[in-house]
Amino acid sequence: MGRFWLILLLVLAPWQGQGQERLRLGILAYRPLPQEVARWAPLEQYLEEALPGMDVALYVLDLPELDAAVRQHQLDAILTNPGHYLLLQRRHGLGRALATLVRWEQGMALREFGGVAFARAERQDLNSWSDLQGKTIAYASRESLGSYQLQAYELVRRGINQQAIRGIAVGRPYDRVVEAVLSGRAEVGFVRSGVLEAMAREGRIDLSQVRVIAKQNLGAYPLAVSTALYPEWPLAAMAGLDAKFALRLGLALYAMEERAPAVAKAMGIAGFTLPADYTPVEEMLKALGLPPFVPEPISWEAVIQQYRWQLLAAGLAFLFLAILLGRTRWLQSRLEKALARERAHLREIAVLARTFDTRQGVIITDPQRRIQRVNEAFTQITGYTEEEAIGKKPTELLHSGLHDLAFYRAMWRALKESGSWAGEIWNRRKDGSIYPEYLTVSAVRDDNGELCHYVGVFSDLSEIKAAEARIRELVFYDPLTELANRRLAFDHLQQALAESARTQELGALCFIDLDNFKEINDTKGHSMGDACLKTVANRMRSVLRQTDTLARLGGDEFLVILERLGVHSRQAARQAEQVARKLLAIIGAPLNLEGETYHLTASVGIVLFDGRTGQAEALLKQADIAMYAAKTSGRANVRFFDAGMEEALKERAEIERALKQAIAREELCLFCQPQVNGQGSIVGAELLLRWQHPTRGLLNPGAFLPIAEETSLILDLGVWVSAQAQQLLIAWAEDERLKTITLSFNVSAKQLRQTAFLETMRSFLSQHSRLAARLEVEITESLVLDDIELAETVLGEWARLGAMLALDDFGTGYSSLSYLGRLPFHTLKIDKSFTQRLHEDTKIADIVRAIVGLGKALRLRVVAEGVESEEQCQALRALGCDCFQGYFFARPMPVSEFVARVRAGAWLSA
Amino acid sequence: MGFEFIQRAQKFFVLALTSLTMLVGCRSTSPLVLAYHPFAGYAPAYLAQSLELWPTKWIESRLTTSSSQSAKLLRTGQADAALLTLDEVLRLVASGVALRVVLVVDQSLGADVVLARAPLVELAELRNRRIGYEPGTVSELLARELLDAAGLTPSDAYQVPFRLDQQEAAWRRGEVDFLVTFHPVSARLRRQGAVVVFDSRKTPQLILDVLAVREQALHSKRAALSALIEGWFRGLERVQRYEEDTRWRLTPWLGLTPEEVYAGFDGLKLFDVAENRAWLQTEGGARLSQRAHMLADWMKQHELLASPAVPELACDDFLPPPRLVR
Repeated sequence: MGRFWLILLLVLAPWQGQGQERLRLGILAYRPLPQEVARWAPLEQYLEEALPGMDVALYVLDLPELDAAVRQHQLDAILTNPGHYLLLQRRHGLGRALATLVRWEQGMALREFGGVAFARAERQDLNSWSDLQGKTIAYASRESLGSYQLQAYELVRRGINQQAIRGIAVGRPYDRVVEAVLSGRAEVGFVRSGVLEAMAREGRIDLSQVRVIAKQNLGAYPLAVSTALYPEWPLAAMAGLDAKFALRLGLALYAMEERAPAVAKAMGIAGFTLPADYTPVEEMLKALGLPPFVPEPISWEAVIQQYRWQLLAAGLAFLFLAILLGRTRWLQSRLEKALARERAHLREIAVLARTFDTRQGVIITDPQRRIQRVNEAFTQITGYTEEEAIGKKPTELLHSGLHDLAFYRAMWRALKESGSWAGEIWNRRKDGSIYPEYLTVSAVRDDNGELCHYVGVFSDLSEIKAAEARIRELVFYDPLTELANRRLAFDHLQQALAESARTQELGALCFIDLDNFKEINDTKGHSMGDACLKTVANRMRSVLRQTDTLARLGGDEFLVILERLGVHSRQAARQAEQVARKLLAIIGAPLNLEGETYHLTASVGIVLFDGRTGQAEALLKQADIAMYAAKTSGRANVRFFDAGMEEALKERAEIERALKQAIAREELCLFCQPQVNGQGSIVGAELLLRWQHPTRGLLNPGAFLPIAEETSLILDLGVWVSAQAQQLLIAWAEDERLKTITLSFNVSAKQLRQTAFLETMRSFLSQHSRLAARLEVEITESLVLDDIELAETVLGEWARLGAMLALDDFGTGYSSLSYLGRLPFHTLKIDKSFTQRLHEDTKIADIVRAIVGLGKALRLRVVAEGVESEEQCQALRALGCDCFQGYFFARPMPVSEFVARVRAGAWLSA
Repeated sequence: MGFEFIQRAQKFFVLALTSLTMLVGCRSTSPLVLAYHPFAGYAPAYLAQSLELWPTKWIESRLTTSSSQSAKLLRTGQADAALLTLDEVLRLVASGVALRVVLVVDQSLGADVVLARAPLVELAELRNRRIGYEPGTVSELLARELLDAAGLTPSDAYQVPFRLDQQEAAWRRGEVDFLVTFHPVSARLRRQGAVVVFDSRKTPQLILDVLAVREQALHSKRAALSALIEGWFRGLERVQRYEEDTRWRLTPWLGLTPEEVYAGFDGLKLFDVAENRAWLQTEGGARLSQRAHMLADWMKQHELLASPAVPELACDDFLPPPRLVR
């Protein structure tokens, strides 16, 4: 409709009059059109007056109409809002602004205006721009500067999107916006500044009905404004307008304020001023992306073309990031898995930690065997704390020294080869005590098979060993007396038998039974009996050698095994008997039990054994039988299983007893046997001991000397014999026939250690040095060999004092020749066995010849003993023997007879 | 067990971090307080505040009536930052307030003036006359310069202290013969017939307006400071290119008419980002520091400062990056 009017107006208007200059001025209307037309009418009149000869036509149009008119170049100048001005300038060749409108408001000239946002007065909640978010807002149109764009810019500037409001475009005039708000169609309205005040002036609204939102403090500025202020409307000429004409128009406009203030004020303006800078408006439109500053649509191709390198870089970066992200995710999943594994490990470790905390000692070392960890049990067993142990090698701490290098080498070899070793090992605690442990060592390898640890787990075997020992005790020992029990005794007996078979030495088995124990046990109770047994056991133990075995067979039966009793059964029997007697004596000692004194007795049965004797079982039985025999013979007795043996012992004991008295009773006597030289002349005599036994008659030394040797009787005998010999020599020295005879007698080994004997010899020899050369001491080879040092000392002294020394029985013993050089012998006596066998074997003759040769070489007198015949004598003489002794010449005879016969001239030299 | 501990430690760490973040968050919600008094040079700050050119929830403008009031707020910590003259900053620093200059606002090239009731034939007429100024402010400096220029010593004239907001009344009551002041007071008094007999054009090195920030705020309110400076330059753009809005918007604050507002910028050289960079860039010694040392020396000479020692004041950390400058 408006468009129709315009076109009609333009067509009909007589502006193309000849010679007449025309000015077609278009004015934008924002208030109701009739009102605007009426308002601007004076301007047309003023301009016609101010520009004489100018045909001025004023067209008040709304925005679309004004737009169309400009497009069709039907206007010469335009007064419109700055936004529209900028649009027309860019799009339709509108020229520069000639002037800027100055409005007249409430007595003030204003060359700037702003936008207003308002609501109904009761909307107390709407105070600032940010309160408008999501609200229903009425405005003229989005193309309207004052009724949309200025306000939208404020919203956008504060980050409130244009889409964040619900807009209602109500169209022009702006009064419609006010109506929309007041009627409640919209919550908020956008109008340009001055509209509300004008409507109020016109009485169409009451300002108290409305509330201006975000009202700016602009001092004396008379209008309510919500936005920043912008320069007022420009009046611009079309680009084609003549410059001169434009200048005239401008001047006319500027002059209006001066020349026609009333006209101006009637139009509500103060006039026009120099054109303002519309940059702020331009900036605002740009910020909103509004025409003419709508951003060009951008094609993808152009963008890609322009930013290809950046896009490529971004793409690569994205790719890189994607890879990075992927890798991160991958790592994360791996880590999570690892974490899960780790948790499982931790649980496992917790279990292992419990295991670590056992009574078994644990050592963990590095490959160099240095301790890294130990557990509590390690400390308890070894005494070393963790601090002391760490960094040390186990061997440094625990080496007991009980195992040799080979043992450890074998251990490490096993570890190297099989990865583990287990076995018993002796180690040393911190306190120095040695203890056994059962050790398991394992080599631990990491994932790569590299040796990373050794783990040693050990248990202290001390207690186990102790328990084992206890068990053994129970098995092998009698718990009451702690003596070996029957089993162990039997075991020992078997060992003793084997040992005896090896050494040929005899042993004895003594079966001991307490005679009156049963009484004590029955009357005093078992505990008393036990105490009694203990005492007896201890006593018996005290008299036995370490090597003897004492055992309790049970009840009151004991067993003693005696070993190494020599090779002679008689000797062994005697020793065994002695031990048995000692046992009886010690058992028989008074026994004090709970204040009462008892006298125990026991019976002992003995059986001797050697390697050939037979079974242990049989022996035990024999000993038992012997014991029983002892018991039946009247208790407190000793019996041998072998009757002959027993008899012999008895006899021996008898001899011993009698021998003790023999000297005192003068039952001993001396016989003499002459020694003759090759010519049959007597050169010496050997004194021989005889015992005139009261019941057995005359006894040879063989019957009693061994017994005397076993006891100290030999000493008494020796002293007696030497004393007799000395007396004889002294006596014989007075006799012509006897004084040349060398008197020899035998000296035993024991005598050489007898101080008294040595003393008599020494005093005799030193006092009767004259007689010394006639005294010859006969000693056996075994005596010399017994103690060569002693023999050397004593015999050497005697020789120095003048006595003669003879080596008896030469050739029967070891016949070691070394001592012959060391001792000053004068005589060598060839044993009678050689003489007797001289004719049986030619080798004997050779031996005798050799002995004689030896004697000659050493300048010794060689005496052949046991010469019983003429042949023997001849043979010995042929072999170079000097002297002879034997029945062939004379039997041994009492000294008196000998003396008589010598005096009578017997064995005189031929 | 060790593992549980780590989990617990992690939880604790996260919790602690959250608390810390909240704490920092709480601190950052207390806005940066900027104090400034009405002066054309400080207009960008007022515009930024008024037009919300900076986030107003981060930055609070404390509008004072005089620079001594701003200085006091800054000294007591009631303000984090203040727009002051360099000499005032030096005085504060000398009194032990740790300050940094993050912005050089302007240089006075005539904005600071000495007003008289009638034109002088020669400056020596100052002898035994009453000179009013606000002590401890740049006006004191100008007063000294004036006396120097007149060949007088401070004892040769009566020096009457007035705060900025008291000056117009004092002038009207005739309590002073001369008044050292600046725009907008000078503009208003000139409306009443005062004449300028001396101005800062004669002392171009002396008067520099700066934005001083307490050292603490420099660390705790970095984001707000950056926003403040960004807003400042937007405000400066408004001064330079949005005259229509600016001339009205400043009227209530400066107490001038829209027509008088822009006259206030005449005696000022406002510095843009590039110029600020030149002032503040510390590499090779900031230009600001040279100026500060020079000023300190001058003030020491005039017994306005105890020691000429000045710590490093310049800080260009908050200037917008060069690429953002249009």
